[in-house]
Amino acid sequence: MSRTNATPHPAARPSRALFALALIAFAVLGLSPLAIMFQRLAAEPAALETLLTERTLTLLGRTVALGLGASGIALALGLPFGFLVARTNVFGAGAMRALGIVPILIPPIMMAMTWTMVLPLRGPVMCALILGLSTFPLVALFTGRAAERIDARREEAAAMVGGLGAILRMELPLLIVPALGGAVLAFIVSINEFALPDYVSAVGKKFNVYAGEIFSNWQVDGNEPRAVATALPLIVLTLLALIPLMALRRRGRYSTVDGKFVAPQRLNLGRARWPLTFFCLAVVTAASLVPVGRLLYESGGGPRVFGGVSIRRAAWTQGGGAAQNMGTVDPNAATETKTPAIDAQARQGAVQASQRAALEAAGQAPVAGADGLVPQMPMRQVDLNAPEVKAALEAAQEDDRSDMGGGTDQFIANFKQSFSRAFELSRESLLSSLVFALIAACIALPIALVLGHAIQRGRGGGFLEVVTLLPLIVPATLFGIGTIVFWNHEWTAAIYDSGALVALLFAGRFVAVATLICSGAVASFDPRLEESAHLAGAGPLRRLFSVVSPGVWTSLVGAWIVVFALSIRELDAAVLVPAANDTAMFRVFNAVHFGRDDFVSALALLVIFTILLPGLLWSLFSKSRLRILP
Amino acid sequence: MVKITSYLSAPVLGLLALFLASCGQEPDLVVRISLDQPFSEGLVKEFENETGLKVRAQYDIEQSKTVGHVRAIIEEAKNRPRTDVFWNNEVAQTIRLAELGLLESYDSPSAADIPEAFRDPARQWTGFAARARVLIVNTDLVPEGEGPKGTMDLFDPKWNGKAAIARPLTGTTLTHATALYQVMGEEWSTQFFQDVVSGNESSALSLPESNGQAMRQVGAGELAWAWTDTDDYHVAEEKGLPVRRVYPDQEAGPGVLEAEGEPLGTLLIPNSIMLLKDAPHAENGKRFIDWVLRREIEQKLAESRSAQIPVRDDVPRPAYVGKIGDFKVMKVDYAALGKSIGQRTEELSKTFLR
Repeated sequence: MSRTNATPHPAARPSRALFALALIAFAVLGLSPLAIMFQRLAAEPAALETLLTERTLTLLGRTVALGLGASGIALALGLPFGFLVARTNVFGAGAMRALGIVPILIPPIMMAMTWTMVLPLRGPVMCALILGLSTFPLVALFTGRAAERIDARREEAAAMVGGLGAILRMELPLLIVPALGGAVLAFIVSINEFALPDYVSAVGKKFNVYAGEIFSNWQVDGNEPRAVATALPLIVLTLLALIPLMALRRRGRYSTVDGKFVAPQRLNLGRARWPLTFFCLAVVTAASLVPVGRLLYESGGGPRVFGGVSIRRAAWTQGGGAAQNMGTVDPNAATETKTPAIDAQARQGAVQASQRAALEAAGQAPVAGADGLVPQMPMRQVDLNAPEVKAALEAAQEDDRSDMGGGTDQFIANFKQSFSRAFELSRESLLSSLVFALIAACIALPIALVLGHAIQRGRGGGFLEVVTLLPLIVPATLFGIGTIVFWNHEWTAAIYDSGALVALLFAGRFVAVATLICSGAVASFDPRLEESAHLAGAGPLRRLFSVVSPGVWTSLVGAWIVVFALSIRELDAAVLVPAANDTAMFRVFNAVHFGRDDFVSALALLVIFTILLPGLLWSLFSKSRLRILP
Repeated sequence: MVKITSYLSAPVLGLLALFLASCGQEPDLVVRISLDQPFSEGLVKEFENETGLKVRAQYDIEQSKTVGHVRAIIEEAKNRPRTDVFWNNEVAQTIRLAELGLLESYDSPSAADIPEAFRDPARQWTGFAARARVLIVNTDLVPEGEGPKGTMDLFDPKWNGKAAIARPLTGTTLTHATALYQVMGEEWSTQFFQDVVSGNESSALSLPESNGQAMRQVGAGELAWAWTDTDDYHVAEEKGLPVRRVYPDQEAGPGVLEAEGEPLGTLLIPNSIMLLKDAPHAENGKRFIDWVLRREIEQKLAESRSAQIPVRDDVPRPAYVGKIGDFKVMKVDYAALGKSIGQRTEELSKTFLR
């Protein structure tokens, strides 16, 4: 397939009726919630006057710095990684390429939860590091795809002149623009992130970002126009970053294909093969395996089984932990875990007493730390002879024996139990998430195909492309509230009061991503095939669905999967809509409030697995490679 | 080439089926609940089982406190109110809704024995099951008798880098901050919060995202102590984390904040429940309010992991929950507090978001 940048023949232009239909659907789902909110701003333009103060400019500057830091890290990791796994003979290139996509699908806050356990870093550096790790797949995707589209003949010519070094010198300029494109997307994701900086700077100096200002403004009555206005700088910043990116893409700077394309072979790295394999492995480990691995470790009670943490914590968690907090736990389930039926206070007193006795027996004494604080044993007065304390002490020690030091067998037993509990408590939520995401992806795809085709083949494609991005780049709170205002009417009551609204919200917000993917795919599809179909008597509808779609079908599947994945992990806008209450992400966030218990980690893994499920199924059962980029 | 029909039929049919399936049955009652889902969800299910009513309960998440429920209620009310009952885990935002004229008066018979101090004179809302703003102290790091005693301990160099208060922009910490403005006055409070920010900028004290996170960090030993709510404290204790609770500002002394020569006392924040104006299922909403305000439910909330303090003195409770009279309570005019919370949010945002 070759890319042609010439103005398409009128025969390749989209059907007006179909385009109008898709545009109406997009306007209803994606633009109306925004229009309603910006209408409020238009009614009170004075809200713009107080927009940029010294304080907000400081926040904005810091946010830009975070975005640049994160996208810099993403670029530094993604450019070499994307090239190496796509074009060279590093060991396990295919598997690492697939694993390299995982971080962008894991909610950044989950990355933060695991990385803050692993590294003692906090503040802006940690934020940038986590966001860089989270978003590097965007750079890798763009780079990898561009590297695959370098003509083999160019490489052969370069190889004849100066071997691998000459090839790399020739290819770097061809890869840098697509890689920067990915970095721009990483920048956009990073500047809109709010919860992660808040979470990561919980200890020590607070790291405030501009997105927090937007969130805060929604809390003040009569401040809605200002709240909408506050979102404008981030929207403008995002557009400023995106427009050059899209212009470059439209000029074909992402594609290096010309004439009769000859696919390149994988490059032999020679002696550098091992060290570069190690580099790729390190990137995949840091970005995908550490977060997932840590969650797996916690799901099996790893910190207790292998780390030997507090006996008290072991006693509590073995008794069901936070699962009992969920409120929906089957009362019979508690007996399955053999939780001793004792008063919690007595239980804690007993385990504290047992710990104190153990410390005393070991001859340990409190020692003043460097900070002047004196570590010491719990001071609760416990009557060790009281019957309930005796019972609790025995129970706690029994818990201790069963839960700590049990090694791998105990780990596996805990692992099974926490997954079974997570599944039992969250089955309905997972199902709801799955259904909402499936519907959203099915709604978004046909709209995206028609709009993507129109962007490439119709007039004013550049403008249309910017417009389609709007629902994605506005803050989630604004989109969520706009959705409530738009859909909450008598004549739309059936939708508003049901789960359908959640699917429509997801579709409206993420159709932009699907449109970008479809637009890129159509750009790589030769319009002459559409012209031929036109000459053969095929109408615009038939050309789109019978000629274009089969030609770009792997990208269509890619678009569907991306919308599905984003819908499963969406929380910020959905949290406002009543029917979105029972989603899996919602459960994870409410459960994690009280700590990182086994079942919470298992639940997070179940959510991640659900996000990855369509991609995994595709990899297992399809011979074609999924395409997100043309 | 694949034919158009095969491309369209499967997704379109699937879409239709899923879309119809998602529409589902209309609920008999729509409730928004800001008491943490793990504590309240079981009670809602119990209500459903007992009454046979189908409840759509909308919980919130820690990150969206206030903005989530209150903003959604306000926006819904402009077109078509959809929420019947709001069970708020504090009271300031409740008064804000009352001020906006979004609440309906309902004098629940179940609330007859709730002290008047916790009931709106116009019966637009009823308070019950309270939490207190307390200090959670890591017992491994801080010996008994050497711990913090009150508000001003935040600035004691002894706790440099080891103390925390959640950023007061949402939830009960915002209510707490607004209460300080009311009790201590404008000038003092402005200076106090500026000092908190300065303390954070010099890394002398931390500003976690929430009370839950403050609790987790104290439990993990990352911090020596922090402000939190009694429900979060109790979860830490239940988990066996090395913590103890301190009711702040009880007796005059170092670190204790005083107003008019008296220790300030501990802020008590009751849950509040209210019927929304033009509620689509008002009768069912009243049934839910009656059910939640029953003595047995207040007892259950006391016995639950959230360890809420019953506002009725004679409701049975575990010993560790305590009674309101066990500690000195900060004197706050909740109605005035609710009226000023919007303005305070704006001011505090300017102070803390920079």
